[in-house]
Amino acid sequence: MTRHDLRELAVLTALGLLLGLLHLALRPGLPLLAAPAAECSAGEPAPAFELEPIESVIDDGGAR
Amino acid sequence: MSPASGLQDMSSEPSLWRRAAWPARLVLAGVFLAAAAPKLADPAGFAAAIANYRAFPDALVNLVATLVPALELVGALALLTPWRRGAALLLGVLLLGFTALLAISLARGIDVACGCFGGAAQQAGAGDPVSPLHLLRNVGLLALVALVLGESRATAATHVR
Repeated sequence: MTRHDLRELAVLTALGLLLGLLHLALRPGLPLLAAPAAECSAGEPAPAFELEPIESVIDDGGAR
Repeated sequence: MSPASGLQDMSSEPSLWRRAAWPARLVLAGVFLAAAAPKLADPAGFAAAIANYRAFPDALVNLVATLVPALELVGALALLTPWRRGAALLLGVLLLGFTALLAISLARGIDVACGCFGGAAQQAGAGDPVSPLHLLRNVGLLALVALVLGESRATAATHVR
C-alpha cells in the first residue's frame, strides 16, 4: 500500500462521509443522534404471566 | 530498460490478472450498488436492522445507517474509475467490518436479520437471518477485492518499467 493509495482512500472516505451527513441532514425524520431505545416504558408495563397451579405439576409426578 | 521495450510490454496481450480484474470490479461495484440503494432509500429501516445487532450505542445507529451506504456508494462508483485502488481499499475495510460484525453475531448466537441489502426485506417479514453463508459470501467478495488490488499493483509495476 503506497501513500498514493492511502490518499485515494482518504479522499473517497471523506466524500462518502460528506455524502452520508448530507443525506442525514436532508432527512428531518431521522435525527443525527437517535434517542436511546427504552427497554420498557412506564406507560406500558411488562406483560404479566400466569402461574401454573402447583397441583398440576404434582399430578405429573414431577416429570416435567 | 529502454523505452522501446516498455512499449513492447504495454502492447502485449492483457495478462490474466487484468482480464480477471475487470469482471471482479464489475461484480463488486454491482453488489455494493445493489446494497447501497435500498439503504439510502430507507435509512430508518436500515437503522432498525443495525440496532438489532446491539453492536453500536443507540445514539450512533442513525449515523451509521446513513454513513455506511454512502461509503458503499462512493466505493462502488470509484471502483469503475482510475481510483480503483482507493475504492478497493475502502470496500475492503467495509467488508472486514461487516464480516467481523456477522462473525460476532454468530458467535453470540444472536438470531438477527442480516440487513445486508437494507432493512426492507426484514420489515416485510422476509428476514434474511445471519448464517455462515453470509460469512462465506463476504470472504468471496474480499477475494475479489484482493484480485483488484493485485491487478492494479501489477499494472502500476508494468507502467513503471
